[in-house]
Order: sequence, then C-alpha cells, then structure tokens
Amino acid sequence: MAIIEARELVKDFPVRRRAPGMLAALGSLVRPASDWKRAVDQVSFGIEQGEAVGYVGPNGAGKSTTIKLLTGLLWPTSGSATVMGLPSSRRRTEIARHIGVIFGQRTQLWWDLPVLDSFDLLRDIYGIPEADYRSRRDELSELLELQELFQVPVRQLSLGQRMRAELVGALLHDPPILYLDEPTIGLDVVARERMRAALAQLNQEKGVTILIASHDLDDIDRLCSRVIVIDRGRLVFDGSLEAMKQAYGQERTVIVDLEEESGSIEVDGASLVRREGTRHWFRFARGQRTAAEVITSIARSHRIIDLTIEEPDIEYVISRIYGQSQ
Amino acid sequence: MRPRVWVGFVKISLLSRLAYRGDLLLSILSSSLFLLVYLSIWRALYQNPGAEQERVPYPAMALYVAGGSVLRSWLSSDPSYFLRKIRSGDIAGDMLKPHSLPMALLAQNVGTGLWRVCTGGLPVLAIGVILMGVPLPRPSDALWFLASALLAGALYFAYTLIISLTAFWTLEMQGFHDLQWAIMAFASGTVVPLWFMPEILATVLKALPFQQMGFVPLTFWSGQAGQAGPRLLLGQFLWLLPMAALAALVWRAAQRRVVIQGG
Repeated sequence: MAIIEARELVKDFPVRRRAPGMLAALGSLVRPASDWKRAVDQVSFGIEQGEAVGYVGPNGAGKSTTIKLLTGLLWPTSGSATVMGLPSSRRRTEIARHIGVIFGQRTQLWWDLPVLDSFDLLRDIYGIPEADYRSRRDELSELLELQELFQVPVRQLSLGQRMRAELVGALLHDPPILYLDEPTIGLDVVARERMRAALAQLNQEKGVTILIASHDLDDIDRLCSRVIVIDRGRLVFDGSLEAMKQAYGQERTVIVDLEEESGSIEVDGASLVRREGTRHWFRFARGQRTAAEVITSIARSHRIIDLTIEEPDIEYVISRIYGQSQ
Repeated sequence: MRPRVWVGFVKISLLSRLAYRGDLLLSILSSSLFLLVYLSIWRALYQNPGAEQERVPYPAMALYVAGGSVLRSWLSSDPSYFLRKIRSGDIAGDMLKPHSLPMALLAQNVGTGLWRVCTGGLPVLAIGVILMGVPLPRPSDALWFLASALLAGALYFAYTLIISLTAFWTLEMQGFHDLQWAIMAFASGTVVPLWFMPEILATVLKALPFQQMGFVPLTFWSGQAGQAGPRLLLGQFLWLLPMAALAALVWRAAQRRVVIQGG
C-alpha cells in the first residue's frame, strides 16, 4: 500500500476581486466579491515507502498547496489525501508524528533561542526518549556539520546554517516521511550541495520516503528516481526520470568547433539551432539520426576541431512538458 | 497534552523572554511611572468626599490600582497571535506539531505570564509599596486573589483565543484587534472600578464577561469581596465553561479555513 496517497485531490481558494478605483474600493468594503481559483485540480498519485519523488512545476502550479494538503495543513475541497492510511487533515496532529516537514523560507525552530534549546523542546513535544534523542541528534548533526552551532540563537544563523538546523529538527522524531518544499531556495552552491548529499544519504541509507517540491531541477536530478510534474493544478507527468527523458527528451545536440567560420551548413536530419563564431549547435532527433551520422555529415565539408554531444537536461525536458500541456 | 510538553512550552517561553532581558528595566520604569500617575489621579479625586468614597476608602482604592498592575502583567495572551502568524506564514510550523495548538499556546502564556509577574508586576508593586505608600493586601485576600487571577487568566486566554482566531476569516482587520484592547480596558473595570460607574452601566457590565477578568480579582485584592467570595469565584467559573467551549468550536472551524500566505 502506498505510504502517501492523493486521490482526485482538489483545492479551491477564494480570491478577493476588486475593480480599481476609490468607488469600487468602498463598494468592496460593504460587499467583498470573491472568485474561486482552483489551485489543485484532480491530482492523483501514490508514493511507496522508501521512494524519493520530485514534485515539479512552474510558479503557482500548485506544488506547495499539494504538500500542504498532504501534511493536513489544508482541507481539500474534494478528493482525499492520506498518509499511512490516515486522512491527513482530519488526523493532522496524529500524522505529525510520522512526518518531517521543511518549508524553505520558514523556520520551525524558535527564533530567539539557541539551536539546542529548540531541539530540546522538540524532544519534549514528540516525547522522544532521552537516549534516542541524543544519539539521533548527534548523528544528524554530524551528517549536517551542525555541532558547532548548537549554542547560537536561530536568528543569528545564516540561511544555509539555518536550513541544516531545520533539517535536523524535522528528523529528530525519526519520521519515515519527509516533505520538503523548496529546501534549497536561496542557498549558495556549497550549502545546496551539502543539503542534497544529506538528503540522498537519508533516503538511501535510512529509507526515508522523500517528497520534494523544487524549482531547482538539479535537486530532483540528484535525489529522485521519479518525477511528478504539475502545471496549473493538473498533473501532467508521473513516471521515472528516465522515462521522462525518453518521452520528452528525444532531441540531442551536437556542438562542434570548426576550423574556420563558414557560411551555411546543411546537415541532413539535423538543424542548426545556434552559432557563435566557429562554434555550431546542431539539434537532431534520437532514433532518426545517430550522432555519428550527423558528425560524419559535417566532417564531409568542414574540418572539426572539437565536439561534444549534449543530452537533454531535465530543465529542457520539463519546459517541453509545460509547452505541450498548454 | 502530556505534562512534559507543558513544561517544555512553559520553559521555552521563559527562555524566549530571557533573550530580551535588555528592555526589562525600561519596562519596570514605565510601569512604575504609570502606577504613580494612576495613584495621583485617584488621590486627587478623593480630595472631594462623596458617598462612593465612603463605601470604598482610599487605601482600598490604592490597593485596587496596584493590584491592577500585577493582574495586567499576568494576563499576557496575545490577541493578535494568529494575525501575525498567518501573515508571516509561521502558522504552518505551529500546526504541524503532534499536539493541540491552543494547548501549546496556553502553556506558553503561562510561561510568559509567570515571567512578566516576576520581572514586572511584583517589582513594580514593591516600588509602589516602598516609594508610593501603597498598602499590601491581607494574606487571606491575596490567596483569594490568586485563585481568582488563575480563573481570570483562563478566561482571558479563551477570550483572546476567540478574538485571535477571527483572523482566519478577517485577515485585514487590524483595527478590530485594536478596538478590543479599548473594550477590555474599559469593560473589565481595571481603569475605573465598577463601583464608580453609573448604575445602569455597572449593571450592563456585570452581565458581561469582561469584569470577570479585572474587576472581580481586584475586588479580592482590595479586600472588598466580603462574604461574596465563593459566589464571585463561581461566577468566574460559570463564565469559563461557555467561553472555553466557544473557543474550541471556533478553533475547529478555523482549521478548515487555513490559508497560508505566500506560496
């Protein structure tokens, strides 16, 4: 049975509508008008224990809303979200014991207190036995190199340090499920890499089920074997990363550096998509042409100094999925 | 909620206060000044003797005023809690814990209240006694007050919770929250005791819950309860039941209305 399940999940939000101008503003005081906006539209999926799933979509696609529905923070308009078989919003406080949640831009630690005090309170809140608490805290802190920050008040931490502390805090009660909503947003390259490495280790070694909503497709590429793509509230793709690249990423690119600048180059079955000085980009469809054929065809009329073959990156693939869903 | 969680929250709110101990002296100073001004006004009013003043002599009034500053430091719950939390989006973290959020809030308020009584209410009272000639209550009155202040605290918590939760429906209504401060200050009788209000007004205010969170405990403190003690406590308790039930109902409804700002 799926450990996380969304079934025909729908969430509508009221959106205050107001015509511009003074008179309309006064009118809306008396009788505010609202429209309903559908943020999540008939979304269904199931996630098995131990999976790491990327949840991807453009801004406002409904990623965060879905995560909030799954954690039980929001009540669905219709459909259902269940975690370990429990309906999430109805049993929110119970489910809280089984999940860890990270919201990228928000803290769940106590702002004014040293990191360690926050952890101690989490120990009390979740009723973690002292010995378990200590060993888990120290193990996680080692993984995220947090120990030297134990005495620092949360408000004095840098964003990267804080996110590491958040992650330790979210995992102290040993939840089998971890939800992450934009966990690497605003982090620098080093902090981002450290975060990803820790998450990968948690998933692979501890078997923590991870659902990660992110803009940063590198996060997904690095961590997840499965992707769910959502656009304007609707699910547009659900499958393995490989299947997605297969289905949407059929186009490869050959980049060649020629000895000298040339006029037009015609290559059968490939199109010149970009040119900078002597460097040329040719795009061709996998299956119709092989890279060797394209290169041979170019080499017939020009001297090639250097070449690379580019596989479609996940960003490009997803932009194609969005393009098709429009 | 288990006792350990309770203690944890009380402790954490004490520690959070400790992080801002810098402004402690300043707030003691301003509260003492407020007490001085307040006492001076009442002393001036008592210069013109009248029927009311005979019923409540000046020392009792001085007790009432000083008791008011202790009581105010104890009633610490924040009526705009949810407004702030919803605006900042931090409500999400609060709601994703394995316990009831109102109970955690109550525990934190107990912590904050204890801190404010010890670092504000009592020091200001000591200053009043030493420098302004404020009398201390009789020990038995102080005990009655203690019980009554606990009930007032619970009642005030339920009341502010209801007010605070309206933020789930009316995100923009800061003014409404400001208004409730004024209502509370006036109707609770902490500024002007109900003794000195016109009879009709006093009758109306006695029928409302506000005086249970000000006038009633201060009646004990100032030694004016007489034989009515048990009846007054019972009255507070009888208000607490429907208020707590209403707060629970509003909280249930509010959870379905959660809108998290930003993303």
